[in-house]
Amino acid sequence: MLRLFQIEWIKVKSNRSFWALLLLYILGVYVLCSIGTGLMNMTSSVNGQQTMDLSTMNMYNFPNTWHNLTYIASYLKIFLSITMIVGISNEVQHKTLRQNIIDGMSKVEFIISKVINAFFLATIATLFIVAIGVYFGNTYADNMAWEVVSQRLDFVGAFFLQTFTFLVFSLFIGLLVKSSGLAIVFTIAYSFFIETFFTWIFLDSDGILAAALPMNALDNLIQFPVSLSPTTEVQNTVGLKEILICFIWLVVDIGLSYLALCKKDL
Amino acid sequence: MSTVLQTNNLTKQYGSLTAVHSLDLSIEEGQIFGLLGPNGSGKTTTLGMILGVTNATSGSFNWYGQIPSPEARKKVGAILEKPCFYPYLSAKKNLQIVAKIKGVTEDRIAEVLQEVGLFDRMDDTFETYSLGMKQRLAIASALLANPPVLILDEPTNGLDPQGIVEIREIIQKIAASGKTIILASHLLDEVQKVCTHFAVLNKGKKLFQGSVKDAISGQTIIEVGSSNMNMLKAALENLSGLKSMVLNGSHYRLEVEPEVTMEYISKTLMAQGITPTHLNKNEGSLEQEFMKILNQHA
Repeated sequence: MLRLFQIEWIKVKSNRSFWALLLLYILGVYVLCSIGTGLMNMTSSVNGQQTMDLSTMNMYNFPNTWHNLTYIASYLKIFLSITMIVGISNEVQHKTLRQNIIDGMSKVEFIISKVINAFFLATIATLFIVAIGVYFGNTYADNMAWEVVSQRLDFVGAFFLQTFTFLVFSLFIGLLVKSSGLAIVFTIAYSFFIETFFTWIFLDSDGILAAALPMNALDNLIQFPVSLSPTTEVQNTVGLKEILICFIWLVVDIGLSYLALCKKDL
Repeated sequence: MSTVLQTNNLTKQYGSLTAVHSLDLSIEEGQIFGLLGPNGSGKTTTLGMILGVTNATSGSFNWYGQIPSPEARKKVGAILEKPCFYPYLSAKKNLQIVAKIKGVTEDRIAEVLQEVGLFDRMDDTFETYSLGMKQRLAIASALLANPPVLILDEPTNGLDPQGIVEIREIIQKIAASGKTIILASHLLDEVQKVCTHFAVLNKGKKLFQGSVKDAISGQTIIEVGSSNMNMLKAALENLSGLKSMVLNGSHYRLEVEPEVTMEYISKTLMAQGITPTHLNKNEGSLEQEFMKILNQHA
């Protein structure tokens, strides 16, 4: 395991596009997560009459911060996914994947080394979201007592699982689709539209089948943090069933990646 | 002597095209084995299968009598088609990856780079290398774990004459160290200069397998010229040990049994009052043998 991590680290350490995309992700998360600072000072008035005052809506107040921030940041995981896909496509295109196997790496080891890569990226993303939470919370939250801050940390764990699973899904797509451009377009289209439309049209957006689809499984871990109508309740904990479905996809995606690699003539 | 590689009915099909057709190969320890064949004859596909990166349609192979495994591949140093390295990494870092994969220490990196003359450039990235340097790095990489078997696929492809000579010298040096080498090439001259044994592939089928020495010594060509070509012709036609005879410009070109010496021909002609003005012996070349094999199966 350590050996595979070391190999992956040599590959990644001097890879400029890897770090550039990671930096882009981190900047993006920072910018999106700072939206709340603008919302706090936003008031809207019609004819001099104040109609809305959002200053009471502080998204950095614990324990809701974790839910709010992980929900917002989850939209940017596509950047990490691109990092993953570009990495895989380069290995295929430059035939370094083939050379790794020729040199004596097993196909299982290659998949593990890429899963380690995904784990590493998901860890960085999670640590960063924690840092952002602590930073904005420290600046704007009313209460920074540990009893409050430590509540709903399950959303942070869910964020890690969500990012990790999505990256392993990207690994599979990267191995399945030859060109990196096509793989990226497919991943974006699939995660943003295709599955959503499919769910609307064929599954009426409901039921166990809808919840079992790979992107829905990820989305259901961390749901929309604001109640849109008085009848819907906002999620206050990550559901066990959702975690289980996500874990299953994690294992399935790793298995599919291995199968895709075995079927390939390198 | 033990068998390094054995393939049994190894077959690869791409759709309706059979790239390799039930191939039986056996390569013994210490051989410098040339895999010959025109472009597209299935050489690279064969090597891809025995290196575990191309899935065989049917048939099997084994290294040292054992079922193929990543562990077995660690004992083989191989380049397939072209040098494949991470373009943004230096030669040194690329070899560190290979060392980690093969599970050997990094002590030998400097040594193998020295051996192929890239020591001074080891911190430059792979993408800045010339084709010749890339090929030499690939050989260094194959040598890194000091494997008993090397597989080189068209190692001089696309190189300029100087590059070809450099690579050939490196290969000859390695061959002298007693390693088993499998060399795929369509350059017959190259195989003749380096190899001890060879097989000929065409359209995925093995047409021939044997030793280079036997193939070459099987044919002896002697050229004879004289001022009186008519008398010469009459005398030569009765020569014992003659296989064939053709007029080639100002002299006759005789294919004879290996026992026929120039001295013998010279004496025979003198006895009949003919003075040869041109007498020359050619050892056969692999090229002639190769063309003969291809033509026989055409």
